[in-house]
Amino acid sequence: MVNRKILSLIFLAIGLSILFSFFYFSFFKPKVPTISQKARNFYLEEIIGPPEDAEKIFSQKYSLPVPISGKKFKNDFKKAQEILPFEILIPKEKKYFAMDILSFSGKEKGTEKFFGAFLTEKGAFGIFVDPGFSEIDSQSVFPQKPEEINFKGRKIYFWDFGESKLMLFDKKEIEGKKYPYFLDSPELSKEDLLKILEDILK
Amino acid sequence: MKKLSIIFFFFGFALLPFFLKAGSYEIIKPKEGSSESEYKYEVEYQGLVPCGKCVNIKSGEYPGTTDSKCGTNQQYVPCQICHIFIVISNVIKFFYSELLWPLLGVLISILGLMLLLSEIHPVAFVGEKTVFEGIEKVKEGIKSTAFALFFLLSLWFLINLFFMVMGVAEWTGLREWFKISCTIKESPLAPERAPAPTPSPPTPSPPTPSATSGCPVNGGSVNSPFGCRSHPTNHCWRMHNGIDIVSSDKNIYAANSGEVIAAGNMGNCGIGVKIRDENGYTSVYCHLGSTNVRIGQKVGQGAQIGTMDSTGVSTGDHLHFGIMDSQGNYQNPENFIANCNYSKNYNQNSPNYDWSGEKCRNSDTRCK
Repeated sequence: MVNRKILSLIFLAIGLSILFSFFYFSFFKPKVPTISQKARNFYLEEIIGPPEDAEKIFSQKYSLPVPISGKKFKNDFKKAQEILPFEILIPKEKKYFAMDILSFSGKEKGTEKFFGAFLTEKGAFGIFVDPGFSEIDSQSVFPQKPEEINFKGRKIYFWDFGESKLMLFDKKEIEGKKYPYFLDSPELSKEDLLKILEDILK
Repeated sequence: MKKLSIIFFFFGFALLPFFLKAGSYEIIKPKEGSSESEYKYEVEYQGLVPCGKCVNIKSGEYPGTTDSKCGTNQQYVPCQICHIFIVISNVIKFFYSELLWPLLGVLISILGLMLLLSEIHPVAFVGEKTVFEGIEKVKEGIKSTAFALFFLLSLWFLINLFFMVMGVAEWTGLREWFKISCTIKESPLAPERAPAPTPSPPTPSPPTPSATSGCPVNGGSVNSPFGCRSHPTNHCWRMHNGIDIVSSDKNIYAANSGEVIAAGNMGNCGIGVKIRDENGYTSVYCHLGSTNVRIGQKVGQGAQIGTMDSTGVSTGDHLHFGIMDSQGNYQNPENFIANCNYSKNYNQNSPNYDWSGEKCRNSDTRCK
């Protein structure tokens, strides 16, 4: 009698767990967002190719975006970081997916760069660190003046180019070389980028 | 009924691995009069019916043009006989991944509930005899299914192991023998596309009358030509859709007069500018240090539009200069700026260049 009761409870538990898992994976688990045509053109179109004179390079394109919380991305991210003297900053929530990561260094010191293209349900955005921008006066690099924003005690610069947005949100100095951090997007608004920045700086 | 359900599960599970592995189909364009293909690429499934609509390009060498129906990196796939297999596989996948599991969950839960209720109050519930007879039948069914599943998966595992260990899959050419590969020859019904770019060694030809021929930089040398090139470190074969010009004069000038259609941060291009002329040709300038033009602005040929630098995917100061025709295909810029007399600072005979472009189209030699 006791055995049958236990057996029935086991059956019930198995059945309900199957149902729960199915509904969880079908409805509640974040689905991989689709890459828009605009984002494809902006981040995945290859007109440049890999830098010919790079000394070290790590490049990974994902045919379907992968979750940044996944093991595959974490391993790739580690490899990308090994080339760089600065810390790569990316958002810390599970809702972000990676489309492309690229890090490389040239022969000269201070030419290390990182480019990452990511995706949320709202659209694609990029995070990049480019010392090529470091000697540039943020006020004079483009004809349009940047908007200065005070965000959680730090000063950030925002440009709206119409076709895309750009945000300079941090600058680290390592051994005399400046590494500026940028966020950009062809489809997200300034507010969306600020929300992503909040997740990055958590 | 019992026999029928066993047969159903038998065939269902026997075919399951085949259908789960049926993941890809590729589109090839055969070379005229040759058994080789001009290009081939893989497309990804979208929805139950995978054809008769625009689908995303997954991998492989895609000619990269925009057709009239679909955007870039998308291709219209007309329905062909081969798609019947894909639809069948999609239906079975739908059954196994969408229907079977909730059904199984509900059945097991009902079984558990019935058992529990019959224990609590056997007579008040359906009737003791009926319940236990039903339970026995369900138990038998589960046993048969589990046995069939175990038997088939073991068989599958053993056959696959045999193929791998004995190398059968390798020497017969059936590497992924269980995978349904649906190869679709490009149909003439598909929207017209421009031919794949076939780069040739950069011997300048007379500039096209419709294109402009101003110089983007005053003096300098071309350090990297237009075409398929290999990266010295990771040996990736990739198209270089422009030329790299190095010069001591850091000012960048508009090679054609027209309207600025993009200016600012442009991803891997760094700070970039795109200018489209009245004939539909677009000149592309990448890795600038700054720009003084903005979208919508009209510029004349020879107007200064920025300064040379190393922003974006670049490790040294240079200008990446590209020309795109009205169809969105990149052309060899050296054919348009022959009068600029840039010296050539690269070895045309270097093994790092493939002038036929074959290595860039072949998915085996391209880096993933």
